[in-house]
Amino acid sequence: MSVEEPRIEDFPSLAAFGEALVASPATRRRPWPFLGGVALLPLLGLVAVTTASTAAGLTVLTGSPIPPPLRADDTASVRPTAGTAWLSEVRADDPAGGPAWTVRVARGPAGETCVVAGQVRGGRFGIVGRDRRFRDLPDEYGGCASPPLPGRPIVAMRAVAPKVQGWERPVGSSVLHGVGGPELDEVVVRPAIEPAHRLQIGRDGTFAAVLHGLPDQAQPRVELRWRDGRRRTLDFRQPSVVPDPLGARPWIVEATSRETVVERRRDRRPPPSITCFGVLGGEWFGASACGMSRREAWVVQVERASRPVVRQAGPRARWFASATWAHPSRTLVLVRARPGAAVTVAARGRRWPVRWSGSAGGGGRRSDAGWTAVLPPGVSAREVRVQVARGGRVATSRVVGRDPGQAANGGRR
Amino acid sequence: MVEHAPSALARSRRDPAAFSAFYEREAPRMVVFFARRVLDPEAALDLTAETFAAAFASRRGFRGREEHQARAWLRTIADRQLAAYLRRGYADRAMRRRLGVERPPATPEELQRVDELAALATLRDAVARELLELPDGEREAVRLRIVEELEFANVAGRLSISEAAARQRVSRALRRLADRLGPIDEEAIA
Repeated sequence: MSVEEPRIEDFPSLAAFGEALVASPATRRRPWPFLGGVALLPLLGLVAVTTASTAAGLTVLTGSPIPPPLRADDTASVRPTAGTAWLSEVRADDPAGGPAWTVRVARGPAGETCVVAGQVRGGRFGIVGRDRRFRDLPDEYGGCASPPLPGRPIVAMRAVAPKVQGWERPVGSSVLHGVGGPELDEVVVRPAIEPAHRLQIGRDGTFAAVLHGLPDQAQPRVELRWRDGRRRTLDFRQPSVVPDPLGARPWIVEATSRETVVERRRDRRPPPSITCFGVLGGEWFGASACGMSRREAWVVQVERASRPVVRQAGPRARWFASATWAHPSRTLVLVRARPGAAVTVAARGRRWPVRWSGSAGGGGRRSDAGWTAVLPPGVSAREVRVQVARGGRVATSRVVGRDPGQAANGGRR
Repeated sequence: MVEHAPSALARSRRDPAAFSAFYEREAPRMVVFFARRVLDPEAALDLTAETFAAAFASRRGFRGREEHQARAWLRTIADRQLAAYLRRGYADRAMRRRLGVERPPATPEELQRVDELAALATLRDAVARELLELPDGEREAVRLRIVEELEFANVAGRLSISEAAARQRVSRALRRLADRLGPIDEEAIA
């Protein structure tokens, strides 16, 4: 049998691996000698938890069979009991064209109810990895909680990372799944950006839905109703993480205010609000930008390969972006108000998700807090309406800017 | 007596960049080595990556100088990886994690190339033929463990035997298969 001599060019994944390998530090010093004894034990605990969770995730994604959790690094105290699992009849289409998703329900050792999301192919329950291979999901996988009752459902989300990641390409999906008990009558999911929809309910109140974007981007509200009229809303919103309006990676925004004691005595105006933002998963320090304004609401246009352009920010606005902006172009609406306010941002015929993004620190007034919304690119300040309500009463409702062409500051410092 | 130039692996003890030459020459052969033993292109790539990660991390421990010594040293690491894979059913990734280096997922074309270079189609046919010759109990144990990728505990449950007996049955069947298929000629690809 004649066999051809293999070359490294035949195996692109190995060629890339080799380059990364030689560039890596081959032997890392263990950090123990530099840590105090007090810090050591918690750190060991953290390492154990991280290892247990990443081991399973990486194995799923890169191609070996999925092993059940090892006793040695299994930090969960409750696991599904083998032989008690059953599959829900509900199915949710996979956006990548893979097998449909469903939920598997099992019993825990003390009568708990355990759930795990997975895909169904030919009667088998498993997961399709990034290598597009389907692997069975062992019985021992699943999260467990007290059995569901009206008003007390079990709801979880599973992140499904895409094979190719990019700033503006699809950024994976989230499988929302759970069980609400036989009395569950209705489940409505309201993702942050996508339209709301009602889910099919299966035996024992099981349900599953595939949402666009990883959980950071999807951030749904889940409204459940039981036959006795009881209702429950679960909110997967995250502070400081703003969903991207066009389905790319979500944004991370941190707001604070800057004011020294001297400035407060001299200047009775509100202290400047400082807001820093970047794209989640990006290099926070390299790709982020920060701005400062005294306005209550301001609009920022960030444009790819340029420094952020500030619209209607006033002559005293300052920007500290040190690098060109390599992320997608978008419009940011930054609002400052008192803590506890309900802030809404509307433009182009719809409301956009608003997230609390920080409050005063480092000498600022404690009453200052920041909210942020991210809108598609090119939305002018004139189109944006911000409403601030407190205690059910609308305190402020106004259009942010005049004409965007009259921007007072074109991004220059 | 002719003095050979030191192997790239020996040079890499002081110069990490020299490891590249060793890797580029030996990694492709290693893929074929593993593929013909585990009959799974993806697992072969994983095992190769882990073997070289271990070799790179411990290259200062290589005491040899010449090329054939470097290959023998690497083969020892590979044999250990293979034994662990056959015992556990999945490729170890401890060393890659430690170094913080991951292998990107392989494309279908790359997996197909492994298949071709290792002549796995021919080998699979031979294995399928020999599998039919195994006693029923052993054939079923191998099918559950290798094809269905079940844990030994689940193999034992399906066959209504103890876990130790399941391990023994799979191991005996694999040995028997190896004997019948004969040694795999590494020189053909070297």
